[in-house]
Amino acid sequence: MKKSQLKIGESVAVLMIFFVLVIVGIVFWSRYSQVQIKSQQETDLLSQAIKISQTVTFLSELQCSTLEVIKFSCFDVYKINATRSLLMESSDDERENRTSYYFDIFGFSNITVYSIYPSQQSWNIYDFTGGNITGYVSTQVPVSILDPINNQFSFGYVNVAVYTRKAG
Amino acid sequence: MIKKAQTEMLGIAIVVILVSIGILFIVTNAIRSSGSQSQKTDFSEKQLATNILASILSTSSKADDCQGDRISTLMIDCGKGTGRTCLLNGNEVDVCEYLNVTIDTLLNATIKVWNKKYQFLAYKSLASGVQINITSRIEQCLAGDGTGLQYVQKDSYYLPLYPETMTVELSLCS
Repeated sequence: MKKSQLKIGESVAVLMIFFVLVIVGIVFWSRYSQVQIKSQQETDLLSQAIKISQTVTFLSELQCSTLEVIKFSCFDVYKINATRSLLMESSDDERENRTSYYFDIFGFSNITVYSIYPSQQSWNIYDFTGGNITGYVSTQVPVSILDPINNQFSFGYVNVAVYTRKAG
Repeated sequence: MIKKAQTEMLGIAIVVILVSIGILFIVTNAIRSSGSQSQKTDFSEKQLATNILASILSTSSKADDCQGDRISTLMIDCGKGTGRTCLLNGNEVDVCEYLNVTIDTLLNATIKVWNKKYQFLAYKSLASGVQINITSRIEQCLAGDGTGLQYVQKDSYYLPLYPETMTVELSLCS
């Protein structure tokens, strides 16, 4: 009787240790998965920001061109101003229509062009938060900004910030 | 007795195999995710180096300082040693000095602010193979012992000086 009780006790102890190990494993794995998911989300946002910045730098609405020859990494200041007034300064209805057209390309993001030399200026050409922002990931692409009237090239960059939003 | 010992050994072997599979799985996952992250960083840094060099070289100087000439033109003048002067904060300075300060301003306002380590170099190579530094800006790009560059994404542009060539290089270090 005593021997069989001991055996049962031993089996219960082994099973308890086994389940404790399984629970520790599950807790560890869930924490690891959370970290992995967060890091994957950040990587995806960065990829999206890079993709949008690529699209912006090759957007015909902004690029410099002379006799249909496009200049690499260059924006025309008059095109920037025109795009800005189309997307940011028009009446609410028009703005909504135009923003919804560009939403397919830019999504929930903010795109700003900065000129830093010789003169300092900035143009916010697109901004759509859609509400419930929790943060953003941004990437920058250096560009030249051409004033074709004075044939002057300024040094600047495009800042693309992709918003992270609350789910639901 | 022998049978019981053998069974326990088998149990231990199974536990060891399960733990090994778990560790292998975690390590494989970690390596795979860091690999895809580094590919994205490589791409964006290579693009950054290319764009920043192209933009710097095509930037115009201030109209009052150097007749609004582009940085690439000023670099050629500096490389040829024409003795050209420009205005810097109202003072007449050599074109090479003007370039040093201007390029410094552009790099400080961009890649330095974005916390990127970089090395900017402009040099001309003589027919004899000797390299002469025109301007250089080095920001924390050396390894801890100061012996050489860490991992870099580099892009270069070449400017004609006749008969020599000037090389303008931007390296981003991580």
